[in-house]
Amino acid sequence: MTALTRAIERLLDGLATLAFLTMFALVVAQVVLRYVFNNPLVWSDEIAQYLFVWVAFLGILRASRHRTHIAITAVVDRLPPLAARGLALFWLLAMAIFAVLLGWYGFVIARQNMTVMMTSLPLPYWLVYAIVPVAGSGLLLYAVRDIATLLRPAGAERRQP
Amino acid sequence: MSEAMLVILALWFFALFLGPPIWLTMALAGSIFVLHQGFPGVVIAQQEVGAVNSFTFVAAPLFILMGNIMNSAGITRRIFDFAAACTAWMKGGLAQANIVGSVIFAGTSGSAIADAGGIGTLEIKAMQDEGYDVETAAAITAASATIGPIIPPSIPMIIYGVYAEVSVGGLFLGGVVPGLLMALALMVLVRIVAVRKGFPVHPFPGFAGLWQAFCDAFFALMTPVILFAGMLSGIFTPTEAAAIATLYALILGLFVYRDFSLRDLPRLVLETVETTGVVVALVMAAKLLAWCLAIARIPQFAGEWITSLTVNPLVYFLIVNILLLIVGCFMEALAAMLILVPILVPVAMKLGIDPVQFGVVFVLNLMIGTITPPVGVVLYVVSNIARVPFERMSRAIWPYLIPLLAVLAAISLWPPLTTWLPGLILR
Repeated sequence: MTALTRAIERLLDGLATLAFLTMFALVVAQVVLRYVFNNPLVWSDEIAQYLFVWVAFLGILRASRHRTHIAITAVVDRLPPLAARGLALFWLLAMAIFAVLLGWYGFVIARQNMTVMMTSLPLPYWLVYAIVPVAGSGLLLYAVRDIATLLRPAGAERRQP
Repeated sequence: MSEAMLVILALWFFALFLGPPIWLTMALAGSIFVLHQGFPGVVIAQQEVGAVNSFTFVAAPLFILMGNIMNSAGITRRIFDFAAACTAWMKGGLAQANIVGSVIFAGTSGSAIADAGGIGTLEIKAMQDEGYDVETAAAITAASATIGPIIPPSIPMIIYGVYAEVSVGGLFLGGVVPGLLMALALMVLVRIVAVRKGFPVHPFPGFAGLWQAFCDAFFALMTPVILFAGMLSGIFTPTEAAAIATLYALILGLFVYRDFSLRDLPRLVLETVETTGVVVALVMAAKLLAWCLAIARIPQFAGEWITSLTVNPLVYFLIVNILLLIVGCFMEALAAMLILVPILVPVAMKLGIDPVQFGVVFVLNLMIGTITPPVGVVLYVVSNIARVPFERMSRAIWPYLIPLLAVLAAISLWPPLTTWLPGLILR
């Protein structure tokens, strides 16, 4: 399980780095081509925009992996441990449900766009939506991981570094 | 339908305080409404994607990357050293440098959190080393960090521009004068505190010394200049300016200062992706919730109710400021912005308020919200950096809100403070 998760994470990180650097390079290339060579690309802005959609979803996944999303914890921090654990479990289940909704409807909308084309390049538009089911699956994976950590007996948790 | 939405909103507000990621509560509230009201579920995916499917928005992650590069390439440190050299001879010189440094850094960074976490770390450490008490150092750092998103570039203004359909360039220019006023007002307060508490002071380094400090920091100081010149002259869109300035910072770090190697880049990119994720998760979920509110006609009802109370722009500004300051205490700034823009902006337009003025006032309100407890993201970041408990931090920040509120009142009452510069340059 851990080996698989780690492989998936390396893949997602690679994908995010590639998407980000390509997006960055496309915007720079557009400026250089326009002002230095007076010969702008028609498709670079559109593709940079779609790459940002990918970066956005991959970023949400990475923040979920490291639990860095913004939350209000002032109230929960003052609860007795059992109640806090119960609440945490409730929200992880809610996260799992939303992950399934997002993933499934992302898949549906990608399928609806099978024959739609991008504006400036002859590429299918479902590519833009393809990241949504990936994000849904990833969010589900992290929700399950966190539920497993939460339900693990206290002794096992202490052995973790 | 409106009743269902109001019930969901009440539940959502309650859920917000029970510890989940804020974006999840909004995404769930939106999804429940969509499915309960029998709308096709694809709306959920459509709205989440639609929120970030914008070329203007691409500027946001690029500005975040630039901030990260500046911090690891030593550019931020050089900017702070220059600011310190400029103000060290004043009473409470390092406290003033904290503000001046934030202003210069604001010219390259678009987020108050980046300000607090980047140059803020240096400012707090330098002030503590010189014997300032840590609460004062942290409070000034948090207050001056709010200048970051008012002086361009600004991630909140990019998002505001995209959703309220206002020119991002106009908003950027509109923020310049208010941002400088904020710095001035904070410096006046720091001066008063410095005299009363007897803050340390250094001898004047002489003009040769200042010139030397300027030369040392020259290439670092050029980063905001490139950004401004590119955007003001209309050569670059905000997104292109972000990319070019990031490239400049990269080259500076790699070849001029050599504090940075290409091997650091993947790590910085992944950090940037993660920070972007934290921001866009809120934006996307808030977009979904805003769609539901619009379908339930909540913005119309709220708008009609507000216009029944007043049609006077100044009274409206008063209502908006009080509302946003209260909301800012309890909600994350970007989320609050996306939910309130569809409600408050149409009324402002109907009353004939300038869209740029309203945008800058809106953003400044929410930035003040980032340093007001109990929910203040910047306050939280600074209390972590300075290792001051959040409660003590919350008490220390109060005096520093006064100058910021004074600027807020000024730009609400007097439109030219925000509209003069955009009118001068964008025509």
